[in-house]
Amino acid sequence: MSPDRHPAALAVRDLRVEMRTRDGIVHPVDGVSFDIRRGRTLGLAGESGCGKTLTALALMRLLPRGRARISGGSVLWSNGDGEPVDLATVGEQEVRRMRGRRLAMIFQDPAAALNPVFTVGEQIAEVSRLHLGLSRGKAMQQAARLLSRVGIADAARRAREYPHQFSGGMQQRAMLAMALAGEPAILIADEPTTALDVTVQAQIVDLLRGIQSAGGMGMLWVTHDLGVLAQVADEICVMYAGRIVERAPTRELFSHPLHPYTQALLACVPRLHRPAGGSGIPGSVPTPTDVPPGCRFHPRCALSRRRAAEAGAALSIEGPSGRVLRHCVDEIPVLRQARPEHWIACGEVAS
Amino acid sequence: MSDAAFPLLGATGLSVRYGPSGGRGGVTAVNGVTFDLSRATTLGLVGESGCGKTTLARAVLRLVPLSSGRVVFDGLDLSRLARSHLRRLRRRMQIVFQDSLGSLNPRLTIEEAVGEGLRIHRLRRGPAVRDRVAEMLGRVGLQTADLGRYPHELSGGQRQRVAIARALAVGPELLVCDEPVSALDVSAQAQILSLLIALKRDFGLTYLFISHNLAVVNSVCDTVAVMYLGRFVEIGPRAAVFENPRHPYTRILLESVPEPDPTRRRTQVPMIGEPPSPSSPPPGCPFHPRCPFAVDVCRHDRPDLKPAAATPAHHTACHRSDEDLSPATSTGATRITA
Repeated sequence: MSPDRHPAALAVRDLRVEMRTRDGIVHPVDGVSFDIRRGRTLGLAGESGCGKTLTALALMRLLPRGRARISGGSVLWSNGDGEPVDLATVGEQEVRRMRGRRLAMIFQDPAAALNPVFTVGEQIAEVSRLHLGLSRGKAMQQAARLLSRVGIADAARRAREYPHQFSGGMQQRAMLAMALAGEPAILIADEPTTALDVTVQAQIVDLLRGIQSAGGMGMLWVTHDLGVLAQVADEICVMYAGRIVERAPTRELFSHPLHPYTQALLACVPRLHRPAGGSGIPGSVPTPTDVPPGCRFHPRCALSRRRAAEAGAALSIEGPSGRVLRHCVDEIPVLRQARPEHWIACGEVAS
Repeated sequence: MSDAAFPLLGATGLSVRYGPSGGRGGVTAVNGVTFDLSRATTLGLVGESGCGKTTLARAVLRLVPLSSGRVVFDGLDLSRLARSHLRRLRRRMQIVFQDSLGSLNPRLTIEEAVGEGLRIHRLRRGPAVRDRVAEMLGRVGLQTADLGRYPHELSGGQRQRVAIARALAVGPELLVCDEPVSALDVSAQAQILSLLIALKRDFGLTYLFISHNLAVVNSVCDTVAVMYLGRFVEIGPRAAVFENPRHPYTRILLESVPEPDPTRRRTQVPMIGEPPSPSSPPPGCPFHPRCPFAVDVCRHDRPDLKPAAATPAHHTACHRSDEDLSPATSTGATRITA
């Protein structure tokens, strides 16, 4: 992957999100860095509660007001000319100009993202009126064109219908049309196919791939399902408890998954041509109020437990979920390059 | 009655129709479905949203009225049972839903939710209820410390464990699982699936397991049925259906599964569009408008389920199931050309 052919449209550096809870201030996103490149799809994978959705919302500056905020790092937007803009610090007015125009987002639940009292066409038209300055009539024509582009038949008539008259798959298409209306340079997709039938999933995946290859849009695809990312992503970041634990080009990640967490996550994906392998990753992602010291994955890590049994008492330590390697508890692993273009944060695999 | 050779659950010509009876404008959600489910086996039911799989699940539990056909549970014809008798029978047939937040009462603690069935069916009294609840929680991988918690305090995977504990507390023989893992992330999915497999083995349970994803069904089922617009279009032993799918729709469902292998990336979407509305099913084979292999006869005659010559347990409703349907014989009805 040549960085020159695919310049970074959005460079995220050491992003931190802070949240207020009853137990004090926590960091559900804790130093995350990646690039979203033009014409490429970056996958962000992890279980529920790993911070992937908060990361996506932070890029859009859509964090729940009063409860969460960006507390560190930068989100540098650049469109090739002029000074990059730091979305982490830029004013609310500027953010509003960019949101929908430069960056757009689609969500898992289209029914919640569409307004039930306006027609689908009106909602799409609103975006092009706001961001492209189209007249009401022109914007409605554009809305119908967009609906047809996302694969909705009889688009002009459908544009006059309300969201409840659309099936789940069609609502997802309508939301995509709305996101595309501002002709964004970056699309952030948060579990866009998770609530859909596999057949419709495949169609939406193909649709997004087609739109992207035609327009050079950069995409961030957030999901728990590595199976979907195998189909869409050029590069993948695996996130755990607020941090990125592995990053690699897609083929590299699937042919050489290095981090024990990535391996476990991969084993969870249901497959057709192989009987059920794993029984899931024991336990769940720690809450941000309760992150373990050292490697945050160590209480669930099969590798650390296995090696601890071999290493003996001096090098291991008894934890709440069994014996693990001492350095997994004592040292915070940082992302290190383990293979070409392949980075992992694991003190055990890298050594 | 409890003879192992007898199917635990059987449906014959089962139909469920919603809307005005006899008149127009109704929807036949389930249309003439027939199957047998032996004890300690699992039938996987697969199909897209709106194909009638949830209605079928509810119909076999008599949670919706049947329009025609019969459901027989352990030799008892459910369609004829009196309400009081049916209620007693419910102890033996339980259901787990997709949406655990919606199916658990938000105002009941885990202990109350799991114990409710025990009280209603008068299976335990007083402190024995708590003991049984604690035992069931342990069985599904929750802790006694969770007894006093409320559904919203739990993760989706934990809530689904509660729903399973609640269903199992009354000691059922049949467990209907309606998309039990679809709302969960892959790691919780894998946990719940392996839990269900272990429980089936330990308690000798019989499952009717519903999912839109064949890969999910793969790990739990003995028999797989594929449903389209209210009818079974293919049913057979798991290996036969997965390795030798005979209905074009089954093949498309198989091709649609996102496999975690970037070297086998799909280059072509297997099928576009969504199923037609069940209120106005197309004539002929219900799948023909989306079928890449449809020919004239498919547009006029509805195919019946027929056994395959080599594997008689494997039934398919397709006029062309005996032909070699390679992409070359596609009539191109649904292929994308763009």
